[in-house]
Amino acid sequence: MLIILSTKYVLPCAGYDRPGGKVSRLVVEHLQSLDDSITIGSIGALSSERPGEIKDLRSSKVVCIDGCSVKCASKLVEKHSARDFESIEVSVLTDMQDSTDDEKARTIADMVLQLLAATSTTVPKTIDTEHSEIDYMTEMIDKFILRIKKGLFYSDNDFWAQKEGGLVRIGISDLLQQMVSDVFFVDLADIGTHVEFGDELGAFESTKIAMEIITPLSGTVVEKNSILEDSPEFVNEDPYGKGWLYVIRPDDISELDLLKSANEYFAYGIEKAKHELGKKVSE
Amino acid sequence: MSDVKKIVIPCSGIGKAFGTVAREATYQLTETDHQSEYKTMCLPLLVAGDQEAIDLLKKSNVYTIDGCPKKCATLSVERIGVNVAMEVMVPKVLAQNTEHKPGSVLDIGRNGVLLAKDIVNKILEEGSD
Amino acid sequence: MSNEGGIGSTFMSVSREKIPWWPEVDTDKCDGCAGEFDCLKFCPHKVYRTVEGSPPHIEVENKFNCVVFCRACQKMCTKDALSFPEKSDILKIIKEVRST
Repeated sequence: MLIILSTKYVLPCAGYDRPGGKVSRLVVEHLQSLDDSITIGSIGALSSERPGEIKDLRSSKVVCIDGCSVKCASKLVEKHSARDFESIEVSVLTDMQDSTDDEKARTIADMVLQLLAATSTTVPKTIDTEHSEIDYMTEMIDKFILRIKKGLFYSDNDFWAQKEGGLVRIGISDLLQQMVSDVFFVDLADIGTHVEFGDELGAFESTKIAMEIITPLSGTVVEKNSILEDSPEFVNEDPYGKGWLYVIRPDDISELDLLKSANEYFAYGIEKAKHELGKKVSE
Repeated sequence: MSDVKKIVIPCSGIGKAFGTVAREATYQLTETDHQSEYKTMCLPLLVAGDQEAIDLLKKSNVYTIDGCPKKCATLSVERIGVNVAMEVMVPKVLAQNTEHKPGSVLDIGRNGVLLAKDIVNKILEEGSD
Repeated sequence: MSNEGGIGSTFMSVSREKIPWWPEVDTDKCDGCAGEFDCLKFCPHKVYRTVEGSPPHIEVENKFNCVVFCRACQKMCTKDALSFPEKSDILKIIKEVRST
């Protein structure tokens, strides 16, 4: 899921008693005269978690101006936002030691504008959909967290299927990943392999079990996630994302009607998880 | 034989059988036929910042054995500014020898000991001198 | 382990008992892996049990515990003693029951 951030948020240091803080304040004055669309953040408002301030922070491209190596601004942003952001530390601009505060401030303001401009045209860090809770249904069962991604179809063999244009991507559900524990080996079938619903498409092994990958639809493999050969742990770390298994050209897309919707699988998963608790496969 | 020591550092993984396997592999090197060449060092000692240990490590060829992708041994050694000559990932060695799947964390079993041996062989064959 | 299975459960919204999926053991070929009983040890769903004999061998105890479409145990058998129904036949049955 990609989000282009169009608003700009600059958080200056609040250390007015220090030279770095004074320069930060001057930077803000310059920025405001150069680009009045920039939101100037407030360390105070962020610290007290004013809702409007948090919202601005999280929905914008962020540049921090740290007055010294304590980096209060950067630390505060790290605390309140999961996104990448840029920082400029005033005190490290040693080649400007002889400049006046005003000259430093102008230079830094230009740097800030460049940083803001660069990221409004390039694609920023994609939001990790793992952390976007609106995409997932979760349920805690004892200490076990069941996470079902919305919008996918699920087989009773615990594999998911995602429509992508005319193709279907498949992987294992978070429920299955938790049940099988650490996957250390994935054996993927070749591109071009044709399978019927329920057939095996390769296999994987974990510390607890060796299992077949059972396809939730009939079709032909057009892509396989070869990176799993070197990093099988992706299946556990991100079963709905980078742990995907195959992309399949379906023989009949309506076959997905045989599968459960996310809501149906959620109910099924809760029952299964309750049943599995305490019933561990002996190691 | 060079004077540079070879130091093998296993991860501290206490939750998984792979952690026990990493330590078993280390002991197979340091307590048996290869003990004149290979020594080990306590990972938490390094993390706690023991300067003598760190200094010795900097003068040695360091081999790390990690039980899972978190790579605690490798990362901890690198974080104190020491280069790792060779890192071994236990799950990857298992993937090449799937019949040597270890038992439990308390008892890795015969297969676990064989997996440790696979790790030792890898270090002996591929570790640079 | 990955499916509770068993009597009373459903698979693809069909009662498990209506789906004829379970392994068949060829008793001529099964020799109990010289006492190792690999398939029994491997299967986490308690489908198998041992049977006395010379040699002791394997039989299916809980056929409805078997996960539909799973044939993982077949790969463990060095004697090729395990066989399963055709998956396409099973799918046909499932679709028929669903449409009624």
